[in-house]
Amino acid sequence: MKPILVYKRYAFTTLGAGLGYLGSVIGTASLHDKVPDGSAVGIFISLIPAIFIGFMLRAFWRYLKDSDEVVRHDLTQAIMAGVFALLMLSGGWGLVELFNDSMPRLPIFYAFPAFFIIFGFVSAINYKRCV
Amino acid sequence: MENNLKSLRAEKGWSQAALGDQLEISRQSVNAIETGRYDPSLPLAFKIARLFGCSIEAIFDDSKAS
Repeated sequence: MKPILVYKRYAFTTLGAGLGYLGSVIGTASLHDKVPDGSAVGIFISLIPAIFIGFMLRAFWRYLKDSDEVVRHDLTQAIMAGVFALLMLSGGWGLVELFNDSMPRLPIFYAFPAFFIIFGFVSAINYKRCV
Repeated sequence: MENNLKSLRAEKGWSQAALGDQLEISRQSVNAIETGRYDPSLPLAFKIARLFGCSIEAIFDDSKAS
């Protein structure tokens, strides 16, 4: 497949999954007060956004598999930056929370946006260097 | 690693996109190789050399590489 088509497939799938994730998070948040706490329905609804993260994983996987080595190198760099930023956040802030009861708790839900902020930032830098 | 891919491409009158199509890589990847931001793998270097009908050493210069 031509590189541009590989990129378009990746971009559209990721964008679609991202919008799906956003919509499902908004939907889940709006249903939060209407569903009994701890109910099976509530748990099921809360897990719907994770399905869209699965779609993103698939898009990333196919892009890494089908793209050329330069794109693969840049994407791997961005993923590594995102993962290690997330590890720094969870490891660093996790200890701050553990040893300081007065500190605000950071919900694990923020792992996803935290990863994508750094991933997007590094991807943008890499892209700008190639234009 | 330095290379003269840009001048070889110019001699042929190809755009980065046209070269990318022939090498089955993206235009951005051609740019990254030309500017020395990315050193291609051995298979890709061979592919480039074959396309221009010269040796890898005639395109890529590793004398200044660390």
